[in-house]
Amino acid sequence: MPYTANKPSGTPSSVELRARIQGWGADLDPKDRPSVPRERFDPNSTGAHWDFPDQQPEPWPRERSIEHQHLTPVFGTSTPPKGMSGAMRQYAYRRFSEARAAHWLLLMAADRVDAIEAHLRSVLTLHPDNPITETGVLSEFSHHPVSSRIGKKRADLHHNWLDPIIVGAPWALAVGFIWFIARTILKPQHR
Amino acid sequence: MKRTTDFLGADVVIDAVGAEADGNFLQHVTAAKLKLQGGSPIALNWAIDSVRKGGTVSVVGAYGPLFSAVKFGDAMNKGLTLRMNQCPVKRQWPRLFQHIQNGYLKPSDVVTHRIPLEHIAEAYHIFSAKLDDCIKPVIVPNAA
Amino acid sequence: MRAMVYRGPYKVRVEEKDEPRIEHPNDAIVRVALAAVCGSDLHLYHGMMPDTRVGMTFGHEFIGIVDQVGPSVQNLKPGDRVMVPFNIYCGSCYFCARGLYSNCHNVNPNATAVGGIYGYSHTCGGYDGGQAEYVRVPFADVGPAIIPDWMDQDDALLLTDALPTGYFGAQLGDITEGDTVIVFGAGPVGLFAAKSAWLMGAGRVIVIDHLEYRLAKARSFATRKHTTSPNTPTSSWK
Repeated sequence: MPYTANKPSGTPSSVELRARIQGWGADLDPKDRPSVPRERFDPNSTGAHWDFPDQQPEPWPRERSIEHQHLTPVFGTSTPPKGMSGAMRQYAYRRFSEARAAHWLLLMAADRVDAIEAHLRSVLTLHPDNPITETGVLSEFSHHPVSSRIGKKRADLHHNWLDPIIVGAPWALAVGFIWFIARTILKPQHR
Repeated sequence: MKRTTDFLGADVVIDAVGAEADGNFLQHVTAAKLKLQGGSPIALNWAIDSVRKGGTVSVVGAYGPLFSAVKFGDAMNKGLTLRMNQCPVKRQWPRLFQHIQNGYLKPSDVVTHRIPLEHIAEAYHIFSAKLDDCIKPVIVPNAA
Repeated sequence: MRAMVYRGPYKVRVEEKDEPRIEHPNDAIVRVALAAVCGSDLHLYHGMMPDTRVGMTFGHEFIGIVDQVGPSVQNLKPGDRVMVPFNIYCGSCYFCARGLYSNCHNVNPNATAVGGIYGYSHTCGGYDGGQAEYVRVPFADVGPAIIPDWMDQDDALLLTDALPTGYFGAQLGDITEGDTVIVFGAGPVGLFAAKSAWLMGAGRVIVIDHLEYRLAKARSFATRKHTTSPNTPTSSWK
């Protein structure tokens, strides 16, 4: 009880818990807990057989945080930056440190631009984005869409209406852009 | 929760929710929908509220790098210890292997769906919309 | 190879993609046998993580068979069945040397605040993940381990992220005997955290979620009390 020195009532005894729950108390002793202490200096235990790793070759000027003294010896090479989103990303990394909100907000904005650019680009290929299949909504027909949602006290139901707007926005913007360009090109000229 | 703990609060609270915590419209919409916060801090704030003064909040839920509106004043005034990190996985393995061999844990109990890689879009939707009592989907690539 | 790719918020699909190559002497290429979707993958899926690029492959939970190894790899050979931690780490930097494998400084050029993670946006280093047929595994001598013969494949998959994370969460709580522990979130990590709290000697473990079916799972996962939590929590007692 917080108003007296006693602990709260109703906690079962350790004997009872040990009998009821498989493995209760197996890690009671902190010495048995692998992350206690959290920092433990043991460089030879990791399997690394180098003091500093070899440098991975840089296939393009790799964007990096300005809080790094130099490029890390190993890095990911997925999806190089390209297009306007790529330029925004490279600017965010070059100009702002991780400490600045502008760094992250610019990267988030670049993500949105990337989605629009990708949808536009996909229209020019044989594999355009298909919002029906890619959102997986077809699974609604076979995975209890109604019983999963109705009658349950789920906290997410009262903002679900926002989801189609968020999903559809880059798609709608891309389609709108194409429509605008097409209309401009195809509009009959006044003589 | 206060009633459950005789109005004291818990000794330890573990946040295993992360960035898409729900239960507060303003927080969830500004964070998860509009992406103006690094993550919805609802679970963090409820953790700060439900732990006792002097207690510990452990955070393993994932959050993004942008700021979030956390009740830091309450955490300070209550004298909390906040401990958190992404888990260093391999350090846990020797001990967890022992626990599994002793029969204390059967991790695969949480798997609810087994879906081919080609249907990954459905897998994500079912998991995201929490359909069909989904807890953990496993993906099977064709080459396997 | 076939690989999952991100196409924008709430949109993913499977495409033909080049197989990953050895880019560093200690890389391995792993043919994925099983992968999983993590609750944190949903943050990527919803467009919440900065620098999530269209075309990236997600997936930081996977097990598989070693297909190729780089010239400096000593501990693995093609054909080995391996489980791979979701952390990408070098084993030799300030943080790795002190056991903080999730905070490696040598693998993520994009951000110093976070280590390397497979398929978790460029904020976590820009590595393609394991929801694909093949995946590049850096520092193959450090991270991956051969799956023990006695271990179930699904168990090995859950050991790449969800179970250790829940277990670690319980350790961070410094639980002493008889403590009252509350776990927010009855997803896989929360369920494992709750069970881990019992392993550490908790006196009571209360699991909270707004989804009743997850609380039902928590009940059979050896927890004591559980509460549903949208805006008006109600508690149910075992």
